[in-house]
Amino acid sequence: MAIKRGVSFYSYQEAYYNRKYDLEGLVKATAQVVKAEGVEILAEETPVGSFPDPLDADVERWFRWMEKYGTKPVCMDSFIDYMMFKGRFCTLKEQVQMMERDLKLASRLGFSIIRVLCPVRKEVVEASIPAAERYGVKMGLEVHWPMMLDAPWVQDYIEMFDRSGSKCVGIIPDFGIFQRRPPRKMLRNAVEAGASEAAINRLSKSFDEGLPGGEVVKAMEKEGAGPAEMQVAAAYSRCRYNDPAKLRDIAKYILSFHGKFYDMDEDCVETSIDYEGPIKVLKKIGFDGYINSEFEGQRLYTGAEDVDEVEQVRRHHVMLKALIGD
Amino acid sequence: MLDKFMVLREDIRNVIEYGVGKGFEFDMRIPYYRGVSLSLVEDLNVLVDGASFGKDKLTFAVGGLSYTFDEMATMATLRWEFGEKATVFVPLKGGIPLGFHRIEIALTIRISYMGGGRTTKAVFDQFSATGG
Repeated sequence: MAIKRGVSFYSYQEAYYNRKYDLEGLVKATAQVVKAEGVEILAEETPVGSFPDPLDADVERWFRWMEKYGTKPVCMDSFIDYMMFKGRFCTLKEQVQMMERDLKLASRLGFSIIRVLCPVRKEVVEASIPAAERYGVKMGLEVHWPMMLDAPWVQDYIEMFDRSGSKCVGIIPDFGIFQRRPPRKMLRNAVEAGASEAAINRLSKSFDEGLPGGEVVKAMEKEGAGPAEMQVAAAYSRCRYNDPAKLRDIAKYILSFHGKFYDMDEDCVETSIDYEGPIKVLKKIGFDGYINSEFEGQRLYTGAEDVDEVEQVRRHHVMLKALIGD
Repeated sequence: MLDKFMVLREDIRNVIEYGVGKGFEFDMRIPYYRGVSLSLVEDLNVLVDGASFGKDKLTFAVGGLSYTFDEMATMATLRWEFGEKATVFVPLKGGIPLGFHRIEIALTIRISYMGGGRTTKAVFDQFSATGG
């Protein structure tokens, strides 16, 4: 069994927002342009019918699309709005009810995993296990930048997973934890915003050499670099790179991955995040779940320039396919 | 970058009834990457040439119905969906007067994922052809 490929529709947010595609159009583009099989949605972003209770007709139509385009529901992202009301946090019981609402919706739409965001308290996840087992849907905790794979916070969750003995809990690492350098597009933006090209090239060289972020920032300050250069240096010092070998330690808890990416170049190479290293490890440990692309480069397109999200995701899958070897 | 789409210049217009300007309204879309319950729309402030209209003066219409911000504070099941246009009414006698005027809009959404309110601003130097 090989690693499988999917797309989080978060990747297509501007195209959907600006009505270039509707939900069916996104499913179709995923199948026919990107040539991926897995589908991940944020139920509150690109809802099937209406959130949280679609009509049966909406659900039937959803499954018809899956059949027609040869796609599969993989993961649904859940949001627990514990700040739903001003002046108080929702109680544990209210938060478990929200989780149950999402588990139920996921099960109706054929998703076997929901993605749980990191601010959701461990107690909420633990108290939701009976509901997850009832609906047959797993809760996957995101491990997202700037979190490290061996952080005590992750260990605490794993302890809870073991204690519960449940198969309905696990981890969804995000490839953003393997970021080596700022995306090329950010460097180009900086030059457009007035950064000196020579300084940006020097910075780029320090990134390639893997100089510590703090040192790069200090050197730039000493040189009297302007705000446009400093912004890039600061972005570099915020990058976190986990040793991919650490994936082995949590292998049995991994449900799926978020394939975070910011900028695919013309040769279908991600310009900031390491994919080769982690995928090599995943092949060795026999991971056969999904990597779902999550394009998040929209925020690098601040001017009038439009972002072609579908093309970025397509390039991402050319890369994934080559690295996975399927 | 959805912030730049929150309010579009062409979606700002005067509201005129029986020849009298009652105020102006604009359509806005959520600058966050998902739809939210109306209770999470925490604050909205509109400045017209520096004169402030706080949320107690504004109404917010979504899904064909119009609400005050006091009403919205308890609405957990009614939603403002991702990409959906809401219409904000600003009571300004006579509407935006003829000529160029600066309109500043600041929306705050309470985002649990970020531990609190996030404010997005939009500024327009708007020409009104229908004022008065």
